[in-house]
Amino acid sequence: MSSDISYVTYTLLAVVAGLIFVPVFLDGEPDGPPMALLQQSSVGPTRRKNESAIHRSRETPVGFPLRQGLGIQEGYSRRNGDVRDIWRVFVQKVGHLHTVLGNDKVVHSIDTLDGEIDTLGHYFSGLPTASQRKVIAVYLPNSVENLIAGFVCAFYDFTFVPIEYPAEPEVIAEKLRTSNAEILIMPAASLDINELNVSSLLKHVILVVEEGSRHLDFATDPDAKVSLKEWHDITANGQKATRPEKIDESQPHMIIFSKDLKLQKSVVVSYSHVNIVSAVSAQATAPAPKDQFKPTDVFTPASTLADQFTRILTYTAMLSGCTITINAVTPPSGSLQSSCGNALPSIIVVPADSLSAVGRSSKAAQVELFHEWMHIYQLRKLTRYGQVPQNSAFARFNDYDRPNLGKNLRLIYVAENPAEGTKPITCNMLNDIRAIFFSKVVYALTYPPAAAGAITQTTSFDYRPGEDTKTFKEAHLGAPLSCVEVKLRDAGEYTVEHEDGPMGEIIIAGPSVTSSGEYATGIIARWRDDGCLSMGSKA
Amino acid sequence: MEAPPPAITEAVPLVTPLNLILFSLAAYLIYMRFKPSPIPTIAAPEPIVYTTYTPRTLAKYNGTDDPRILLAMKGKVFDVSSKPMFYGPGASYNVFAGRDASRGLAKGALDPSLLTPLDQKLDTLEDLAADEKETLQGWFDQFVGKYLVVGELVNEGEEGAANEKQ
Repeated sequence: MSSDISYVTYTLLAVVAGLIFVPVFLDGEPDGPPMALLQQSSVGPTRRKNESAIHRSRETPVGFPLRQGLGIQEGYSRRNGDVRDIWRVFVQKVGHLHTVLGNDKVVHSIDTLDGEIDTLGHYFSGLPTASQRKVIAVYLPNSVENLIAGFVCAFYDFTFVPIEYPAEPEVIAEKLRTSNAEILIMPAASLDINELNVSSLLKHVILVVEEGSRHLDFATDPDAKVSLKEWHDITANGQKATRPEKIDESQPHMIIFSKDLKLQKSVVVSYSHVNIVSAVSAQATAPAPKDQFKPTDVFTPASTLADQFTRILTYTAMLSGCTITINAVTPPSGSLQSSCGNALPSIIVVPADSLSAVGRSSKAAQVELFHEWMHIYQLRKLTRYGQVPQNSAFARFNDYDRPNLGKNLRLIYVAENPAEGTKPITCNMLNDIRAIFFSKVVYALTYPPAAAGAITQTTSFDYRPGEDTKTFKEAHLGAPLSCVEVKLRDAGEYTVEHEDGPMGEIIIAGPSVTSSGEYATGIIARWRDDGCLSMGSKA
Repeated sequence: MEAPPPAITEAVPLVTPLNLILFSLAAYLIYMRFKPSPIPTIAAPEPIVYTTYTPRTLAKYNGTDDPRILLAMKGKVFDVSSKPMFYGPGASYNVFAGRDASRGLAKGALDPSLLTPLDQKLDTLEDLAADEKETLQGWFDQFVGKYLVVGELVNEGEEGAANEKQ
């Protein structure tokens, strides 16, 4: 018998022992508890005849109140707060605000900016306008001025109208007209103002002049039919006002422009303070505790701040005391690399179409066999072990054409917006993007006319692969956020008793929703067995 | 000098029972690592459809004719199937199963004569005393916390109107 044991036996023994024990040391923990992915929403026990059961976030199950506001601690009580509290918390938590100009980084003094809010508030309050409530349109690229203008409007109770930059003069004039804005903040010498006020109520224009051009006088234009003033002139020489104690929360705080899918036309959507703060606080608690925004994070909005989802996430980052790094260049007008390459961000927001374009072009650039093997290994790491592949020299060896956003990147936010007809990103495409950026990706459903912020979004550690067929690519948008409840209502052939799962038109309600009560969105969706919302039907 | 006899090299036994067992174990472990694993989901329980009942359609849910036990109070229908020890056949509160229990609960009496007959209009409860109304509200709040509201109780012929309202 003893003669049976040879080196072959010993080798086999070593292989078996290795197969048993090496994974114990090398496999590591998954990024989140896999059991949490099995059922991701809290489903109501009853339903109406032509509707699906109400789905809610597991943070606020059916029968509990939805998340209302920021929950600012004041003595022994908590209050919901409003947009002003986001700035107050940001100042209190000593957050930082940086601007990236090419290769340089400008660090702004928060105290100076806090003072600028009051000088601007004083100036705007003194401007004569026809309407009782001042409406301030902001046509600026992503910049500190853009953010500060939003908080001036919050503290001094004006209506804030962010307009996407850059845009054609006709588009801007149309937006000014529909929002009844009488005051406009814009970069100096970027538009012919006299073209704008033909059809709109525009009376006052504040010009933001970059530092290098401040020796030029932009404010005296003999042909101008509106009053002109320079931003830096106001902040340097203006008087400071005292902030009003109370603001009227029933009035709209922010007005955005979107498209209504049911009416098939452009609409002006107004968000109240409650809409915005409930969306912000729901967003702050939505990711797994490990992935939530922390004061050490660097947040970069790589998408225009005129987009409500980007703005709400920026507010969320401010509420968590992150460092906000702003770059005027954003996709789609600039590349993702130029937008946040120099900022070394850890959390970014990217427009859906830009992100999927980057994903596709990077995937196409993986031409060598080594790249393919590496990608297969990384996908296996994601789907089998639930871990985001690490950014290492080995993974980047002989690297292909992909944006390098630095080593700190850990979370990418991307939103589907049916109002703008963004293309859905499938589960497998999201996994490709995770492998390309070595980062987690959260994919959200937004519909600006219906609700501020996101309606549903995927769990940050949900890397389950999609089971794609030739005709059907699996995609889902995760479970509702804690500030909304979502159900589906029968619409034509899409019924809640459908054999592929409950289908129908998305109906939402909650504090972040623009109408009180239910809002019928006109978007057809389906509930999956795991409580996630899916826009594609099962083929 | 005599050359030492050449060492007899024994052939290494390659295929032995022990080797075969170890080899198949290694193969199995490798297979387990690469085996595609199906992704499980836990489907939520099928939601109960919110229905409009009349005294007649409600009557059969008394635990005897139908295993489901329903009970109406102040126009709402509660599913009390989870507590057959109270409302099941032969249990003390079984008189209320499938019926409008408002008056009985308000008066704190398990008297079948307090139940509204099936062919009469719904009990409006207007003649109850203040303390009886309070008792009823107490029962109602307790039921809302404990049981599912699965429908409404309306007079016969008013189901359509109630459905419209939804």
